[in-house]
Amino acid sequence: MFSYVARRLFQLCITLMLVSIVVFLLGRLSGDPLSLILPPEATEQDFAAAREQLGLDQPLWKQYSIFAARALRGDLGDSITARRPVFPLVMERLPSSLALAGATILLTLLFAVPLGVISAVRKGSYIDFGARLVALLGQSVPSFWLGLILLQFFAVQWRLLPFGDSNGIGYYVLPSITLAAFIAAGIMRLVRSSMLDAMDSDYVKFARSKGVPEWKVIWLHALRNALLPVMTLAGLYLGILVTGAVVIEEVFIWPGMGRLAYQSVVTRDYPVVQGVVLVTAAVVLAANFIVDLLYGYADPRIRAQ
Amino acid sequence: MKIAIDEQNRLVASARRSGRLPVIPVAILVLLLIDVIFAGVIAPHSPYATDLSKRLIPPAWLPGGDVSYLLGTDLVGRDLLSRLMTGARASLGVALATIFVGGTVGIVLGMVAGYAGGRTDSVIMRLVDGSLSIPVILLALVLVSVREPSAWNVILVLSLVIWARFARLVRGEVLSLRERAFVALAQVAGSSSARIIARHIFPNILNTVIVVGTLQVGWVVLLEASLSFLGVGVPPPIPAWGSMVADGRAHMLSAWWLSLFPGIAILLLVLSLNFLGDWIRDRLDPRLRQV
Repeated sequence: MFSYVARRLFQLCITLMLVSIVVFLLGRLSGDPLSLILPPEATEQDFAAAREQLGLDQPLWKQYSIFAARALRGDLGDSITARRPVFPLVMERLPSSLALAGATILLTLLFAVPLGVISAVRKGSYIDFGARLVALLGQSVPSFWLGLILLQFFAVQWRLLPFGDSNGIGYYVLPSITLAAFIAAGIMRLVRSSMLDAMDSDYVKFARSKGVPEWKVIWLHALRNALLPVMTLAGLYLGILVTGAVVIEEVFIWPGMGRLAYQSVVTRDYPVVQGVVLVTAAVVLAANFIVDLLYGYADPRIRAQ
Repeated sequence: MKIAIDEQNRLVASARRSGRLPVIPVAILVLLLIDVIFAGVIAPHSPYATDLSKRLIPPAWLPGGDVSYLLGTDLVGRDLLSRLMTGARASLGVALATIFVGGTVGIVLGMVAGYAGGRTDSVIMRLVDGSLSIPVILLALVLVSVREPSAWNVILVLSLVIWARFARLVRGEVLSLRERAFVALAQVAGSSSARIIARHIFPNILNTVIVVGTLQVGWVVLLEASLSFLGVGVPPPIPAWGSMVADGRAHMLSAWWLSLFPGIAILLLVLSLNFLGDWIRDRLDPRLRQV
């Protein structure tokens, strides 16, 4: 178990480093960063001094190692528009993004897993048909459009729910439903198909022949195994969740990292964009790491490999 | 052996169950493809010509509607239907190009990773992890803040994301194919690695690739739409469905058709693609139900 954890942790670090290299190189592609940082009236001497101070006269690999060493200490440079360090700026927004992600995951698990199970157990019934249709719709609807429509009806016309902030449960309802639509649909389909396989398996037949009550067979024996493939794809879905959040935060004026990144792009505040990408990637990778550990715990065969 | 036959029977049975070709989705897709090719000829109006005297005409069946502007007009008097018809190019064209570019890169790297194993494999797989952990939209925002927005940039960004999904799946397939007797025989016969990958491995993963490809097109269409909704997709004035939704956003109460119809267009396209993808998967490779 220890070597499994160590190996995964090492892989995580390598991946994070790759992400940071990409982000760093993209920043250099944008031309001379000094023209963004220095005021327009800066002289040649100012440029030269700043170049030396920021290490821009060094070779690229050295610049990267300076950048990486600073990033490891939590120093991601300063925001150009806010004139504040980037790291605390991003971290201030992290909690409300995480809270929205948490609400979305909760909603997904509450609906998608039971619906997938029922759909599989009652295969061919009206419930199954309806659930699959809803899932297909959920996977096909553009989330920003769904968000706009929900916002229009529930928040603007009928004034049932608030929006534009994150203080209070009411604010979570619409964005988390919008974000969950795509993800829940995918998870539901996945649970359904792996439940179908599980219900067909020898251990389910064995449990039934032992006289285990049917509800126990379904919800304990079969579901436990059917959730394994869901866990393998959890990492992929986390990435989709974060991506969707950028658009949804913009639609619902949610004070999270996604909106911060989007606004920073509009104002060309590259250090902030860079900071958001790095922090998001770190969070997604850490979440993946935890899921992997849980997976190893849930399925002993994985640890052995 | 018994188990293998059972498994095979099960797969054959489930392929039969999958039933007939989904006619309506396929018809929608065929119409859209025709539209993508001939939009310039069959669109009733120019998608670019503005006419301020004709601004915000509601759809034809509403009071104040005009039959020659079937779905109404936008803020500067452009025909919504013509813009939707032309916008299909951005949506479907970008998506297909992305699947082609990203798919090719992903398939090649996935085959190399799976076949070579060892260090090559771990380097490629770390790249896969990395590109799956960077949120697509953020990457697009970064790229667009660095370069000028263009259709090619959108294709580039989306390919950077989609290749990893192909690579991961193809690698998994190749890992098991590599152990099969026909690969060993080819190795004994002295075939080069490149030849084995191209002639022996590739034909065996083709089904998987087709299934993943079809199922991913819908997702790519949604991503492209999100990018153009945020204003970092295909640049204006070229119509794209996502940016059309965004344009109508401030007028949801007074001119609801501006945002509603492009959204429905995206929904219909993606729904049709998903129906078709599901059907192809059940036909070719029911094992892939979890993709």
